[in-house]
Amino acid sequence: MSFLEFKNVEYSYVGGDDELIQALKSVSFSIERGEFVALVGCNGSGKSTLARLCNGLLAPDGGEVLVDGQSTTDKRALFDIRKKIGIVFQNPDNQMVTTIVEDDVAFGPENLGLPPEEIRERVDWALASVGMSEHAKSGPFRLSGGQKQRVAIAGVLAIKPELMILDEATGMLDPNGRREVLEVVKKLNRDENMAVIMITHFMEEAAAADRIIVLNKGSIAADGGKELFNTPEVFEGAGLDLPLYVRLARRLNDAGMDVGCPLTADEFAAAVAKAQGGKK
Amino acid sequence: MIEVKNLSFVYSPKTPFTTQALFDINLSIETGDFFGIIGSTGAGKSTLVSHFNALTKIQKNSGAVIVDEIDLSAKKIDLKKLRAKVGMVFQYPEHQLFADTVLKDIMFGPKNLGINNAEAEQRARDAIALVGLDCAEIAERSPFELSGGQKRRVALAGVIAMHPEILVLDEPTAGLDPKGKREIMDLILRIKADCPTVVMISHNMDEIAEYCNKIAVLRRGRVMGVFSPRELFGSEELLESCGVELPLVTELAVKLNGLGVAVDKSVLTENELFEEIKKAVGVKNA
Ligand SMILES: Nc1ncnc2c1ncn2[C@@H]1O[C@H](COP(=O)(O)OP(=O)(O)OP(=O)(O)O)[C@@H](O)[C@H]1O
Ligand SMILES: Nc1ncnc2c1ncn2[C@@H]1O[C@H](COP(=O)(O)OP(=O)(O)OP(=O)(O)O)[C@@H](O)[C@H]1O
Ligand SMILES: [Mg+2]
Ligand SMILES: [Mg+2]
Repeated sequence: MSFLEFKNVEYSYVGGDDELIQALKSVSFSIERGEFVALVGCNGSGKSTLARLCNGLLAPDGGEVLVDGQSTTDKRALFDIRKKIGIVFQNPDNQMVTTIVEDDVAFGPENLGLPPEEIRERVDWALASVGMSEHAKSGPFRLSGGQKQRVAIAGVLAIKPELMILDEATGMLDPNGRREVLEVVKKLNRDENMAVIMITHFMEEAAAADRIIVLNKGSIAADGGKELFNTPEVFEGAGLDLPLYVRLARRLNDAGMDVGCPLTADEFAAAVAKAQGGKK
Repeated sequence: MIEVKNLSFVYSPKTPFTTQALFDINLSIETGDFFGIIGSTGAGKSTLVSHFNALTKIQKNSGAVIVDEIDLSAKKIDLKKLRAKVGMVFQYPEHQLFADTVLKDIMFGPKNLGINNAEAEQRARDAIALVGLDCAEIAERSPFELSGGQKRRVALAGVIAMHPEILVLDEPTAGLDPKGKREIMDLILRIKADCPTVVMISHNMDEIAEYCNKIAVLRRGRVMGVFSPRELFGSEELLESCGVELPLVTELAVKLNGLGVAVDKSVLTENELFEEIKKAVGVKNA
């Protein structure tokens, strides 16, 4: 049994004039504990909808979503499911529930019924992990955009979920903050076997994941490992770009060099240096 | 032209929560500039630009902002005139969407300028197409029931429809897909003919390097300096002292140099890097 399973999931929103807006069409995939998955797709392709279906915030119109074998439409299972799956949403404003930052971060662990000492420990750790310790007593509405985003991330870290979904959660962080948050998430993934679904518009970030799921107009267009980048049509067909390294490498290959398909900055530099060595 | 003179700003003054967000800022943004503002989380970027359309009032004895002759530290400001001139797209588009349909939302600005219904609608439809949305599909929908990237495009369309002379963008491409990012930046370059001054806050150094002619670095409420992209991204000392990260393309150039591929370390765009690599490795054009 997989940790998370989507079976032929359908979802439509009801628009203003009762028109149906189909957001997901027959989506099937499963995710195991400890996986690190990037979810990519154009604006409006259904990524956030998929995230909301994972923990039962939305119920599928067709098919099922199972978490440890329990359906998200089973009301009794929902509490359990939300303990296991934490989501950081695109807009942090919608996630703040209290008037003090540290209370906001404590909200999740309190709901889990943890003892006070452990709550304290988790809140301190989560705020430190995102570099917001000095703002613990501040009001969440007195923060800059990026600071709010960090608090929202801390709130989910403090739950220590088994699956963390980051819905463009680092989109408004400065480059440093972005790297720091990704480091914390990777560490939890490595050391605590936390599964991660990272929704991102940065293809370079996606290239660093173990597995990439590509959504196109509500359907899964591709689901695989790094080898997906050898078939650029997959990304182009879904209206996406390739990572910078792959774009440059393809152009260089077309110009007569042989640099393969590097997926990180270091691989890229090494491949070019090697190709230069071969020339001289 | 925007002149910022000795501007300071304090949130919640005289309360336990008081935070000084800006300290004695001096900047001069000239007509024709594509002016970048960068700096880490909480540096004061949004607070600074929110002064440019008087969304944030200048506090007593806290300096001045002058936008083409309009003195924003004056007691009475002609807000209508100011907001017709300065178009602002907020960091979170949710903060500027309000009407019950996308079309009405975008028409609101032009109508407020006294433009008749028919022309306001025409401008709105044009703007929707310019930001890469499908008018037939989206015009009658609620702006709140859109995906994150769609909302950002609608917010931008609302500002473009007002035909501003100065465009202020607070992280305009956050949340946009890669094509969307490029389309929006191209769009901004295109409308720059009629809207010559653009101020852009961004955490995306590649974008800043490619599009801006001047870059102000903010740190903890202070201006560390105003630089050209090559000056800033070409200087290790400046990057270090200002706490600024390299654009990805420049980082690749630096790494290549480290491995003995002699490319110019101050490249700012993908194309420049491509040409530099070909030159360094000695590839003849295919
Ligand atoms: N609350 C809503 N009501 C109606 N339609 C919606 C709602 N939220 C999203 N949609 C529509 O559902 C589709 C999928 O939206 P979703 O938010 O899942 O996209 P996304 O992939 O997360 O996009 P983005 O990259 O822009 O965040 C889009 O066509 C969108 O307009
Ligand atoms: N409404 C508010 N009340 C009190 N303090 C605030 C408020 N908004 C922002 N601040 C504080 O002012 C400082 C500057 O915030 P600002 O929003 O201008 O930063 P920013 O550079 O735009 O950051 P980001 O990149 O995270 O958006 C921060 O320390 C922040 O905590
Ligand atoms: Mg989304
Ligand atoms: Mg900001």
